[in-house]
Amino acid sequence: MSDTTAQQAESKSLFAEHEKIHPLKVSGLYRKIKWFFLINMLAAYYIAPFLRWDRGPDAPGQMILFDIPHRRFYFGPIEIWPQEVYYFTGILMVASLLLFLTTAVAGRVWCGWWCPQTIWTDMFVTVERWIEGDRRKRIALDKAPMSLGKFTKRFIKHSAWMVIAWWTGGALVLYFADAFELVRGLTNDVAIFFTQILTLQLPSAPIHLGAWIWISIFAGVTYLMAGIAREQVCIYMCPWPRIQAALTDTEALNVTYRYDRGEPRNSVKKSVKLAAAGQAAGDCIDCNQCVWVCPTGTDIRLGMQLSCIDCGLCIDACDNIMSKVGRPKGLIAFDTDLNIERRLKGEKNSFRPVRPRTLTYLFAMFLSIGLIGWSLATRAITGINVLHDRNPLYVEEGDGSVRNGYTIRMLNMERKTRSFTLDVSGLQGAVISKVSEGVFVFEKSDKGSFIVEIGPDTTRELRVLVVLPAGRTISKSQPILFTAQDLETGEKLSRSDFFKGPGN
Amino acid sequence: MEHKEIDHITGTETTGHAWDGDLKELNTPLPIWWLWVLWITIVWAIGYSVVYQHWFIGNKVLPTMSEWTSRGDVHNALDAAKAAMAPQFAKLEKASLDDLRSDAALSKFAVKAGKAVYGDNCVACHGTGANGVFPGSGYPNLTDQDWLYGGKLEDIVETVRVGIRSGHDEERTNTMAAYGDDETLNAEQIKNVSGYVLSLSGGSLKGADLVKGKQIYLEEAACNACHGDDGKGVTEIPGAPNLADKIWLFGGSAEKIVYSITHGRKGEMPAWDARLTPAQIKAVAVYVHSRGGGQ
Repeated sequence: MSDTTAQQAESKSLFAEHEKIHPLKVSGLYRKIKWFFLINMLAAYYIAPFLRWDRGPDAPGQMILFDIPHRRFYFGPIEIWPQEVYYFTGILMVASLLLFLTTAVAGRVWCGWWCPQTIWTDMFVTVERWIEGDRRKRIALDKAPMSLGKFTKRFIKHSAWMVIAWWTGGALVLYFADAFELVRGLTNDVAIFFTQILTLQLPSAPIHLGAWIWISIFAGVTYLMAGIAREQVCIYMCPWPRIQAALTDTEALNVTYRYDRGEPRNSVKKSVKLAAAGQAAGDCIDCNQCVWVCPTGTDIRLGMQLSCIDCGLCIDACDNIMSKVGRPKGLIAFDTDLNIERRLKGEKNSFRPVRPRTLTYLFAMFLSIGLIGWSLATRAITGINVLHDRNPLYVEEGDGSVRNGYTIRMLNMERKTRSFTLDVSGLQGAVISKVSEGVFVFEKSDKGSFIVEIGPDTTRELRVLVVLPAGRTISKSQPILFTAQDLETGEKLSRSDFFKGPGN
Repeated sequence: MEHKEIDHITGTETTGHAWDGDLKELNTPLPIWWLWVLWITIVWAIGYSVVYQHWFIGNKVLPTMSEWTSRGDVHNALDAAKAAMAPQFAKLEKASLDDLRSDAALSKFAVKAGKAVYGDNCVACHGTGANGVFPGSGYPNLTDQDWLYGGKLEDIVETVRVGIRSGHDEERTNTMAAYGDDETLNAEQIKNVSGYVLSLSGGSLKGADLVKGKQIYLEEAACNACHGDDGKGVTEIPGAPNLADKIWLFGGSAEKIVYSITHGRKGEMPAWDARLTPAQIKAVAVYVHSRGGGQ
């Protein structure tokens, strides 16, 4: 064996060192689109928890609230109980279908314009650019030995990132508690902390310790993902590029380098010469601007690839260059490979945003929205659940009658107290002998039905005894039906169970 | 130090020893970070045992730096739970049934606390469902409306407190005499009176003379003194069961009834006032009362 074999073995290594990406500043249409979504989505994110919604005196007045301690989720007029979390599944389904649809029409614009990872990375890079300068300066700074100037810049940058990260987590916790109260509470914690520091006391644990811990977790993750990991999240961590590969088709628009127009690449002067000599000359001048502006370091001229998030910044960069060198814009554009092939064959371009795939997604999306809406509109705001006693299954009384015990849970999702009559049917002679909660015994109405009152937005667990008088033949188990009826509206709810006996 | 021999294929140093002429081993020691983890865990273990571990020399327990023990943690948690429940128990101790009925929170607390007390102390005899271990076993069903010593909350509290034939100073007691063993009645008479008793709840015993049986019930044996002329018991004498219903603490078959009259019956229940606090007794009584039989 010689040394060359060892060298060959080394060169076969599949491991590639990560190269830090320093996106170049660019301006243009797509940059404007990105700013537009960034500003509006951040504004929505920070304003939403402060929006109010009147739900009456004993309910929270916040429009969007995840009230974990009380097990309620509020979205404007919709209030979701824990047993209804399937509505979230519905929302996720609609969101996925919307994502499929946009992907089938215009590629991964979600990734490029709307994804929080993209928005926060964009913000962090912008801050980095303010402090350390644009691409060239940042590369130089990376290579420079540590000095006071470099340290100062780095220190300011990381501090700024941490502040942004802190505010990100700080806004997220506002969705889980009353926003105004929590802001006041956190401010108060800070005031106490500084008072203690200034009076040389040992700081005590903050009152809203839980909120601080969560803010720290969210802030830490934001700092790590948007500051350090950046495009690696998109390329290595996120499942979406892989799913997208399975969803895309030849008709979907993607950021595309029009190699039919760009190749062969040459410098401006050389291509002019070649054209004059009647030889093939492409429009691409190989300036690499498209690679430098890319937030994920993608060379779009290699074709559609996993790392491309479809943000369109390379289009801006290329258009700027093309107008400078006096060539038509759109060398990189939202286009399809299919169209490139068509143009190479001399055929016409064709865009088909309306096609079976997009129509299917659209249909599935509206179907999901319709199902969720229908389910929400017709969902029961009252519920009754019956649980037969397990032990004893039945009790034989001295007079020969048989008694069964049940635990009945009644649920009132309305924001007012409601009264129900509770009756039992389906077994000749069987009557409810007692309805109680602990030792509290409910009263009967004039008509002989027990009346049960359920407070607003609560459930009530009742112990119900059903008695079958002596002399009735009963089998070991017989179906029985509990019916609750709203005294005011007449709304009826039923739940079947069984009446057990010794069998005779 | 001898010269290092490098393996050409891997570029790694060998141990320098050759087996079978040309077989060599690569020198690939443990990664340094792994070794560091090992050393750190050893240092950690020493520190941990100094702070927390109780070492022994013979029977002598050496002190540790930290006062903390996991057992102490459990005690603290139990004390904290007791302290948290104390005000509720204090309120419960004084509450009457009417008070409980008007205080939903206290009522819920009483039933839950009572269930816990019941589970710890009562299930062995009365069963997890409070319906006796099995019918006719002598362990009463607490869910029906048949009570030997009263089914009101106060009655249940008293029964739990002093027990039945428990040896407590204020014990509840009432013994069914052993008419056969005492030779008060002969076998024939016992058969006749058993037949009469069975007939009160619609049963029958083959070969029993009901007229003679009734006479024995009312005169010779004077069963009516405790069980009443109609067999439904006497209100003034607690502990004497109703013989005219379908509930039989010691079994309602002819055999069992003959046995009961011959040998007598005296079930026992311990007094709980020494083991449970008055509030716990109240709680368990509330729980039993809420099972369906409470009056």
